Amino acid sequence: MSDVSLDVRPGEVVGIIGPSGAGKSTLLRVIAGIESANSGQLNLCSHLYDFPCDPLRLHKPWPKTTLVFQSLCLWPHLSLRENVLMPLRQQMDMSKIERAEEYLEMFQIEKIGSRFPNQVSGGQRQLFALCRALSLDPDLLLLDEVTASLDVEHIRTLREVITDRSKQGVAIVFVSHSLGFVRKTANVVVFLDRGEIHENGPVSILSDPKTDRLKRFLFAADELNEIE
Amino acid sequence: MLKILSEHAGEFAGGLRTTLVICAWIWGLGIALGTPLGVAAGRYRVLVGMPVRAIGLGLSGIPIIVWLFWLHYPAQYMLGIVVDPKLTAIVALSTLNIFWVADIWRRCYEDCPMQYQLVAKVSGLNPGTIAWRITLPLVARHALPGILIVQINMLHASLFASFISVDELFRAAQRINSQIYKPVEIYTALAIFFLAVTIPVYLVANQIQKRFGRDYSET
Repeated sequence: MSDVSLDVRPGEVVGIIGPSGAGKSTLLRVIAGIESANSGQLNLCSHLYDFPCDPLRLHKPWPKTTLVFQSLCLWPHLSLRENVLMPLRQQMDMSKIERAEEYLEMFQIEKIGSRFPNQVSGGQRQLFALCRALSLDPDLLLLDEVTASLDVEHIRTLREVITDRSKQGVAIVFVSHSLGFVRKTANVVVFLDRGEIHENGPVSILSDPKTDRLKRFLFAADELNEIE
Repeated sequence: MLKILSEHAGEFAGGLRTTLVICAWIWGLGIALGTPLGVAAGRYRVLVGMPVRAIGLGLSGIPIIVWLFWLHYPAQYMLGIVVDPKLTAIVALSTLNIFWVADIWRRCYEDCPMQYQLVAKVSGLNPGTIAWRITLPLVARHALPGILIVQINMLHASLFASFISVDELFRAAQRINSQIYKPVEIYTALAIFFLAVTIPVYLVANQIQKRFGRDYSET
């Protein structure tokens, strides 16, 4: 990535779009503090990380900043409920555990909590990974392709949760290939390609793109929509 | 065979006791010291991992009996000491076990997907909880089968201790056979003794496998 500059404020919902290999997930990992950049700065919740550095060894931003990975990464030896509750038990905050139970009910997955990750569908795993991150009550929530395996009803519930969390002041940055989801959920859209931000601004840039690259990208998406 | 067993029960029991004592030391030291060494080797790949790999490779290249004889004769001669052969056998076989167990842990630690630890970090888990609740169970699942096979092999390797005059089970059987020459009965009895030790170890291994080795593959 080069010359990437992004300013995310509390309560803002930023949707990052772009072709595969554009650097979207890498950007999220750098923001999450689990990958280092060669140069530049990251100001995360009033803490400045000056790259090149290894954020893991410095002030740890987690779980106030947390990330839901593209590859889910539920711990396979723990039940789904334990996957959600274990980080909360360490914090010994009963209100967060209660909130976790609420999220499980909201996504209608509370009854399968005793199963293990390999015993449920990809979409259900995605929901548990989401519940784990949401229950941590982060100030900055990073979501990498979380809608990939979800059905339309769960995507709708997720949109409601994201809107609710952002109203509570939580900043949310998500990566998605679903332009419909980005249009309906994000306040700000960032178009990334080959490690560079080609265009960013309000959701209206998706209707009125300024750069040729974004125009080509949206044209391809429109073509796909017509086929569907 | 039963007649021979009953007539020489004391000698067989003494040999079996010595074999089990040697094995208990070899297993205990190998697992207790090999586990932290292997985890450290996986975590600090250059500082600990490379020396562990080099020593493990060196020890694997030397036949067990050569290693045992070397420690029993030339090493003691060079150092000007005389050590109880049972202790020599324990030191020789435990050293092998420690480095073989460590190498299994190291390989499994290195193969454990980093993503699981990263998820734990971004979820705010502290390093102790990550090690104890996430990394260790995942690594142990892969390491246990190999470690248990090595322990069975160490039981079998304990036979070599008879060559340096340790009065273990095989040596007891040889001594009885030299007195009454009934090789079929005596060595069949010996095989049964080894099965009697190996089968419980396999059963324990199975239980541990069932406890930690649930199938994690995703459909």
